Amino acid sequence: MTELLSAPLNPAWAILAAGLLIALLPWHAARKAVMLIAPIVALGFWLKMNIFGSFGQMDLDTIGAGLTTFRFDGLSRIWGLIFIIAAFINALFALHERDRLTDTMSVLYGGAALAAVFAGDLITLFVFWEMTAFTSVFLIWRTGTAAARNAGIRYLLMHISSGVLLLAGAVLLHAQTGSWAFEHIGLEAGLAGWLILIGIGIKAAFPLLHTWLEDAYPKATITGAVVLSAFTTKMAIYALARGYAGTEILIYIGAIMTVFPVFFAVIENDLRRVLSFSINNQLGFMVVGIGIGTTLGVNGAAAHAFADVLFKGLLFMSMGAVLYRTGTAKASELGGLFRSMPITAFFCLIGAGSISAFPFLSAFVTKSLILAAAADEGHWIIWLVLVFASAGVLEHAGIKIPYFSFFAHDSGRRVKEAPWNMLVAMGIAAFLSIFIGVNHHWLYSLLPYAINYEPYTFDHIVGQMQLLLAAIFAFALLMRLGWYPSEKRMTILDVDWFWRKPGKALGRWFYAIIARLWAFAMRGLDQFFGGCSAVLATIMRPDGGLSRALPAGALAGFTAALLTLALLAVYMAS
Amino acid sequence: MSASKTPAPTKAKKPATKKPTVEAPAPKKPAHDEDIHPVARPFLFLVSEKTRKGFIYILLIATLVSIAADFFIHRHGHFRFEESFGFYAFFAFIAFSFVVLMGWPLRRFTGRSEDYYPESTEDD
Repeated sequence: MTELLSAPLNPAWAILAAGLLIALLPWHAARKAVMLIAPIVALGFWLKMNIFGSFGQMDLDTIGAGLTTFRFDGLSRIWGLIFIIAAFINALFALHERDRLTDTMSVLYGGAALAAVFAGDLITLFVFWEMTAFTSVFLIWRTGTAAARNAGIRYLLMHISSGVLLLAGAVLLHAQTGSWAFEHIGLEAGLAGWLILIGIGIKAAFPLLHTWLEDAYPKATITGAVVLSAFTTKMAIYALARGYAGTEILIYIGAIMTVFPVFFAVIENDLRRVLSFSINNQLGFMVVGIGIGTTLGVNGAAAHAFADVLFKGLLFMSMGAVLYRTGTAKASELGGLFRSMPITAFFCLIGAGSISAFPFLSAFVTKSLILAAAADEGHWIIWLVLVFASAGVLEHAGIKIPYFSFFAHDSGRRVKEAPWNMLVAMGIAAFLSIFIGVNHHWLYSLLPYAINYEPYTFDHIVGQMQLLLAAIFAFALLMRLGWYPSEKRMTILDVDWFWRKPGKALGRWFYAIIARLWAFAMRGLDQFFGGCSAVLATIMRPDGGLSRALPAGALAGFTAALLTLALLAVYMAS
Repeated sequence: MSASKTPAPTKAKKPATKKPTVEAPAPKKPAHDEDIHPVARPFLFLVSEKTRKGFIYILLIATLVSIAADFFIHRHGHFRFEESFGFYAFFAFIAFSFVVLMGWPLRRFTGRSEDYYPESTEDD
């Protein structure tokens, strides 16, 4: 018994088992209790781990694979912790929600993401990789609108493809190396390396593969968007850090990711979609860090992923609370809400300050690692791009989100403050964002590699304050001059336009062509069979050739001839 | 009392109806609003006309102070251009303005009506 208790326990099992239990529990209160307790149990398992190693081995003889379901090392440790924290905050944020399906799926989804992070081999990774897709899609569908249904289908299609590419790459890799282990892959692995990279790239929202994110997240349920913002993309960043650290192409992919969403976020009216663009932009920073691949770069990606789960969750929670109380998250419909939701507004400002990297808030100590890594390697253009993108982050996540919802002109909406459970969930995320900003050594001690970086230097603080203040001044000036594009209700197109409009039209055209060809083929077959049956009918009908009456004499002659033949055959045989 | 005061609001309303085209939700004066959350009351000065007008100057001064810090102490950077006077402030100002101003052509190019995708009409 004591041996069992001292054995390493995979925190993911606690969450996955809770998810299955929740599916069976018909009582709202019991479900919520399990949702809150499971992450605490998982945290207990995580805290108990005092050694690195691979545990939970299973032999799968049919494919000749030894699976490792629980690998605990520097990389999976920090990701495991933030996913456990996110699971708890998400459960608290959704405490008021009476929906067994959403409860079940959000917990299973978090558990699957956690299990994927702890997976030591590509088969286990694939199973939980796909499980995150199948469970999370319900958080989008549950909104119940046609838009959410369709977006959910597009989301699922892309995520299943991601898993299929991962599996195909894994099989190819196994053929080359004879191993299923999930270690560094890189593009040296040839086609297998590319397939897995694209598979991960879909979930990490690489440029052109990103549309599911901005398409589906804003259409998810209020609690669903918060849950979604934590897991899928950060799981993909983990997989990249594990398999593709130092892959140079990622530096450029990441740099593009930091920049292009910034422009779209300025004109987007749906504030939850603005936050989705913001996710994409923050992922870009992490991808750059992984592409650089030095210990500082990978540390930066891990630290920033940790901080991002908290402040992005916080921002999604604040917009979720606004949507919950007012029924809309559109900037053009909001404004002045701090009068009725001051506590939510305060937490939103903490989240906004954290993502913008204000000193003593989380991104100040995490994003700077990635910039320093880029500078250390002499990537000055990339470094400039990241500084440019930092100003862009401040624009859409630092200013636009809080300003247009809680300040700006008064929309006249007077609503109740967010429910207490939402406030506590936001409070925890806000507290942790400040805690990391102040106690950066605590976070740094959890990073995969030893680190020697001091964020609170005069140069860094003054430089960052110059950047932030000048950018906020630019905002105030552009507003004063009336040059800031006013918030308007509209659809902003993205590259998914290609398959949602011309692609769809092309599909319809193909469908019409195939329908016609089918009709033509059917008509041809009809004519052929019609012709055959007409011939048969002419032979076999009562007055047909086969039914013609023959004279009795002819029949007797025919019988005699047959008999003679039979006799001859018998004679010859004997 | 009520009879004598009735014409006054109608007079007052006439110019008020013209104004909203410029600034829409003027009628609801926050100070008299009873639905304001008690926690928010001490912070209403943040949205007062005075703060609104003065805020830009506060920002300007703060920015200039942060730039002025470069006079006194030399910032160390990875690159030489990073160490140039007020680098972060000028770069951020230009970057921010560029991002915002690019919104105009981008919206013209990618902006469509809200019901552009037929499925979206069922929303809200």
